[in-house]
Amino acid sequence: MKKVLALTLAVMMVLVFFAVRPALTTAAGFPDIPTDYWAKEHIDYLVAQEVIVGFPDGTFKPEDPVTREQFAKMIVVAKDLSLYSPSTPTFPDVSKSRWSYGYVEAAAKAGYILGYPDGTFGPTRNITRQELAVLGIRVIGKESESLSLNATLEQPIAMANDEQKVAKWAYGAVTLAYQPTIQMLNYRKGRLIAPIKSATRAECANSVYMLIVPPKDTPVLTFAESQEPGDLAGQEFANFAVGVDSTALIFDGAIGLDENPAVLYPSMIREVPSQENGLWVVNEVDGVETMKVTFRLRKGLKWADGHPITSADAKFGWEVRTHPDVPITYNVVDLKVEKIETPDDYTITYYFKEADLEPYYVMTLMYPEHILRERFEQNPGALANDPYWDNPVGHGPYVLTKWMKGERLEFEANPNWYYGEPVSKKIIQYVIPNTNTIMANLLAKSVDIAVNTGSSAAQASMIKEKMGDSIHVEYVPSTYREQITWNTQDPVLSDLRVRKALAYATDRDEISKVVYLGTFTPAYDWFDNLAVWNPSLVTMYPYNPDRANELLDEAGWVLGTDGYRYKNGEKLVIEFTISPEKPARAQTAEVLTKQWKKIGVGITTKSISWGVAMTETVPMGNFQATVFAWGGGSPFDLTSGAIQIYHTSEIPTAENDYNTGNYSRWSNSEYDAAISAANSTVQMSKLIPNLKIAMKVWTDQLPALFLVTWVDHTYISTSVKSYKPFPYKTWTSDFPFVYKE
Amino acid sequence: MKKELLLEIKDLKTYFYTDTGIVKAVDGINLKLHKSEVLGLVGESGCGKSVASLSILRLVDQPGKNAGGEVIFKGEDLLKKSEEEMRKIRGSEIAMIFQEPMTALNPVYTIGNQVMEAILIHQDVNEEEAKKKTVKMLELVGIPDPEKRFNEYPHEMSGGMRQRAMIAMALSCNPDLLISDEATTALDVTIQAQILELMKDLQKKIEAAILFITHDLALVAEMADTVAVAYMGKIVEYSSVKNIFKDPRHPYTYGLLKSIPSLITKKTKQPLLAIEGMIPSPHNMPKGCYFHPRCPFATDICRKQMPELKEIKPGHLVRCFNPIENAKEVSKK
Amino acid sequence: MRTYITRRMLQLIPLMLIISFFIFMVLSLTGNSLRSLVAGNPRITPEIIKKLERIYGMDKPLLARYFYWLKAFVMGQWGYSREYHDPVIQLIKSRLPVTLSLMGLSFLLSLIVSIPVGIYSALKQYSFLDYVATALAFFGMAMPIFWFGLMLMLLFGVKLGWLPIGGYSSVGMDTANFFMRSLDHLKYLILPAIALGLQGMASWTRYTRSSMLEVLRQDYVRTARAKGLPERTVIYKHALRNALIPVITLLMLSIPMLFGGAVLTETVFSMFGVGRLLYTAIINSDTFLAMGTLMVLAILVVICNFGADLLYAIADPRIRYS
Repeated sequence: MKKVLALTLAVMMVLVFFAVRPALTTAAGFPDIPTDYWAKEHIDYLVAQEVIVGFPDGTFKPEDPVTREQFAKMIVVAKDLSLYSPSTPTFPDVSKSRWSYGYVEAAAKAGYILGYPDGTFGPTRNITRQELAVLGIRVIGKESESLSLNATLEQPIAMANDEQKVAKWAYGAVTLAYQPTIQMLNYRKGRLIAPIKSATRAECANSVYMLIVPPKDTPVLTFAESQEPGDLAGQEFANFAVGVDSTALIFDGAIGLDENPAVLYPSMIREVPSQENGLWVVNEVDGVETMKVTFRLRKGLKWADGHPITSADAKFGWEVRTHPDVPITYNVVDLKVEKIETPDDYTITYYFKEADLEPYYVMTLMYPEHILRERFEQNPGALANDPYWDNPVGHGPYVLTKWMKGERLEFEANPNWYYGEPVSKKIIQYVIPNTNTIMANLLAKSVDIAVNTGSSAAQASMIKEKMGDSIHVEYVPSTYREQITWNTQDPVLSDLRVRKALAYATDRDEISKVVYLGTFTPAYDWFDNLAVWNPSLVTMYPYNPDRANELLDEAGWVLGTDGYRYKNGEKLVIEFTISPEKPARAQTAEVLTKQWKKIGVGITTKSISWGVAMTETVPMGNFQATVFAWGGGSPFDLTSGAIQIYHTSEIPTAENDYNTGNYSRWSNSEYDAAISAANSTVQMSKLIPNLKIAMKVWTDQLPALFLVTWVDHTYISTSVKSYKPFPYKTWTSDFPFVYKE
Repeated sequence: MKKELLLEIKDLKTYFYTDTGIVKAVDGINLKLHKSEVLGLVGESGCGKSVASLSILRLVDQPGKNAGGEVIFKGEDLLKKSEEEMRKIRGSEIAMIFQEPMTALNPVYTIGNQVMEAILIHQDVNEEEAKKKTVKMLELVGIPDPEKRFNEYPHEMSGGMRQRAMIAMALSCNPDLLISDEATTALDVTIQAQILELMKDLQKKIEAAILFITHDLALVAEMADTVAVAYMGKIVEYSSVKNIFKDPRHPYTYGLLKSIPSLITKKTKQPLLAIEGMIPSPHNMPKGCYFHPRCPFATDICRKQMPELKEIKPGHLVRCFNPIENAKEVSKK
Repeated sequence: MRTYITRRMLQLIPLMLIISFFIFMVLSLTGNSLRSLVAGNPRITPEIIKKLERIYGMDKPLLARYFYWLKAFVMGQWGYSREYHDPVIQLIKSRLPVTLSLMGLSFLLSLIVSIPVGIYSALKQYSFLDYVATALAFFGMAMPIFWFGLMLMLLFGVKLGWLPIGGYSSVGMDTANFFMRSLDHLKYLILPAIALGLQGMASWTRYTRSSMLEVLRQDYVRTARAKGLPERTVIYKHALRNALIPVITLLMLSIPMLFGGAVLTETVFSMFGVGRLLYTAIINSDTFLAMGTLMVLAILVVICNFGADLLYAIADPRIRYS
């Protein structure tokens, strides 16, 4: 018995040893490929298959170019073709004695490479990105399709900013290369195809991988979310941010937003209008800037019912949104337009009587004129209530097939989507309002993705611990920033020294650690999420309780024997109005209480539900300090948010029915002037200097104390590919590209 | 003519085993009841007569339990019978009527339904026949318009009617023994008289024996052939009705008789005799004779020993060390 | 009897009027303006708020709005939901089956558990099972729905995987026939019905037990036994019928509370019924939807009260009205 046991153990050990072995070669750990490198997974796979190898010095050199003959070898090895050495070389510049002869000939035999029009191959020339696309398309056997596309397309369809730089012979290949079912080409920073640039080793590896391991056809993809839209009119008739995931599935955007850095790219239009490409023209008349912005729709766009999408639909959309009887929540940008021209079916020119940094808002949603015009003209006020909006005709990758209200929405691929066919043929969106229930579903693995869950930091780390190998927890920095809004008209807080002292006395890192398990990053002011922001431009308040004490002493608040400060018999206590809907806020107040005790300041809290607080208490100034979060803006809105929240004219009063946003009730003429000047121009030469002044004044005067930036948790099953949540992704959807292994 | 012995109760004991101690509700009851005889069981409230009657039918609720004795009915000891056998006897051979007809009748079922039930259970008839019998029964007990009343609910009838219905229910299966537990106490005096008349009438007709339990001696005088006087769970005097009234021997019996306001006392202007003191608490029974604390004739031995039930003259039993010789000569001490 | 019913039904009208007015007033206390939209998006201008308030009729004075709503309501136009942009009637009608089936199943389960256990507890008082039942009853009464519901989900949904975690129907079931669909719904309804019914199971058990105990002490039970009726008849014909009379009324009156519990249950189990509809309506100051749903609830309460009275009268012949 003992002998058998020993033998078994020995065999097992040997097996384990061997099982471990191959892994050692793939965990190559190239020093120049960090763990979060975008193509690491694919490179590792190919290195393991010996399709591509590292250099003798142990590096991989991912950014080096690849020669055409090197690529030929890559593709031949990847496709497991046998080397071919015919007696007569196909290409004059690839002789029999060349090291790459067998590879090049094999590739040519398979029909992958045709060579240049002059018959040569150019083995030592670097393969360009568009050549990569063309070759790749040949490899998967779609060349005929790409050739016919070459004939019909005016420019490739790639949702990229440099489509017009692609060579005509590559239109079709580039278009197909970016399709969801192929996804063989990545984007370069700035959402660029970079067609004539040399493809890097990493990019080639990625492309080859996608050729041999193409996106797997996924019959059903499920995701869960806590909020459900009231209807699918988009962000129009109702709550702004709710339901964006659903509407983005059926409505594609004219424009999309990519990250790192934030950049716009064209989706249904041919290019993003800019001052550089001349589609965005700025004029100045009597000190007032006006704009003329032109959008060009791609040809061949169709509504889900097959009807073509034309410029008339865009113009119609604007008509609807600016009508006084239609309850559109956000049409500020539309109202700045005084005239629209549609010279042909694909061109729309908007004439803005005021400057706006984000004119593309007018194009966020087009309406099908052929369906809605009649209803609209008959009764514009009733349009919002039309049952049409429960299943509107869209133009996005999916169509809504079923909506079990309150439970789930079911979507299927839209055959009329201009971009092609989504990889996931069916999408089911579950509506699960209770955070705990979503967590339970994740534990039971009944959904592939969970977004907008409202989960706390503790819940996220619980999932990470328990389900780390089947669920990937993505911490997505949000656009929302938690901050303390001071009522600057309050006698205690009107003293700037007090506000500054409290800023110095606040340790943001501790708040993040205690309340949010360290997952939230610090926020400093209204502007710190903008690209132009830099700590040197503003006044910063690093944690410094000594300085805080100094300031309070200066301000005449004397430290009493009980550890608190007094002035004229009044104790320095700040009352926080907090809404109970977010328990983290009460916790934050607790942490602040401890921190501020060190400088002799006390805190009391008053709990008022959010709805009442934001309708009565806060707008009417019946508070001393309140904690809540602003957010949701786009990275290109440099100024308009800053005006609506901090300009003197935006202080809620009886005149404006308390319907404005300057809850701090702060008034500073220097800030007003600077921010107004910045907001009324789109010329960066004028905007940026004024913005910098505004930033300096704001951080100097501190009408609010910013604390932390929210981090949203997105839960993605590890079998899901091509899904990368991004805070600003509201107009276009990632889902058509998402698939499951 | 010697009548058949129907029921003999020998030294029946029923104790209640409570958390605060044992309550000896029935502590030695001895009775003999012959066919067609009316035996009055008299005593104050709390003397155990109701429990004794329930003990016969074994209907005493928890925490009460039989603690000894025999109940010989038609030659068989009921205390030894199975529950199933008892059920056959209850309502058919021995029937019982209770004090408060409003609560003793189920408020949610009609009178007819409740009377019919007993018939259906004990007799082998179909529903239609049972209904006919019920109506006849109702008529028999003097309920006018019995067919209509069949469908009435207890709350729709007067007290007297309800008691008649109860009697109908009890007699529906021709029982040999009817136990009447204070059946008329809750009724008006005039109605009381009617019911008593009815009972006497029916008793003659059906030839049932009646165990007539009451605290009212006047009723006993009317109804009973024999009388047993109970005190604290024991029989203290047992004789014919004539003897009890004309020649009471036990001081308690004497006290009871003398405390009845009657025309005679008024005329003779004799003072009402109130028995001093109250019934002792069941948890704190006195040593010796239970009655001695209230007895004007108590002597030493009374305080130490419990007297036995002795036959001092033929057909007259007394449980006392110092029975009264001549009732007429008793003067208040 | 008939006049009683007619009289009660006529009384309903002023009652409903008062209730509706009261509800309307209370709802308007929660802040009748769209001002909070600004907090969600500061770029919304006061002009936009004014426009929206005008379109939604929120700019009129309180009483005017009430009568405007009342007039439409009695004519069958319950308005449009500001959030969903669907007619309120349609929303309620489509959500009602969910809530009703949840409440119904929950009621049934509670009934099936509590009555027999209560009777048994009363008959075998102080027995081991009686103690167990009592302990479980106290447990049930103390257990919050959302916590218990979550525990059920974790046990049966996550750990055992026997039942789905939330929702009301499976994908693809909408094309199946009524029978198959109902079976499918049952799978989803079981856990929430248990969670919702836990309170009922607990308190109705106690109530049945004590009512039964009281009835068993009554004289007519003794009479029934004295008649020689079999114990079974004594318990189930004579005792039970009387014991159930107060229990019936209790059950009828607890139906509106089930509705309240349904709000929580529906949220935890992500079922979209009238309960959750009401919750979202109130949170979003969706006046017409909130009013419509609350009126439905009010009608339900009134019906249940009325039904309790009626059932009581039917069950207890002592209480029959002229």
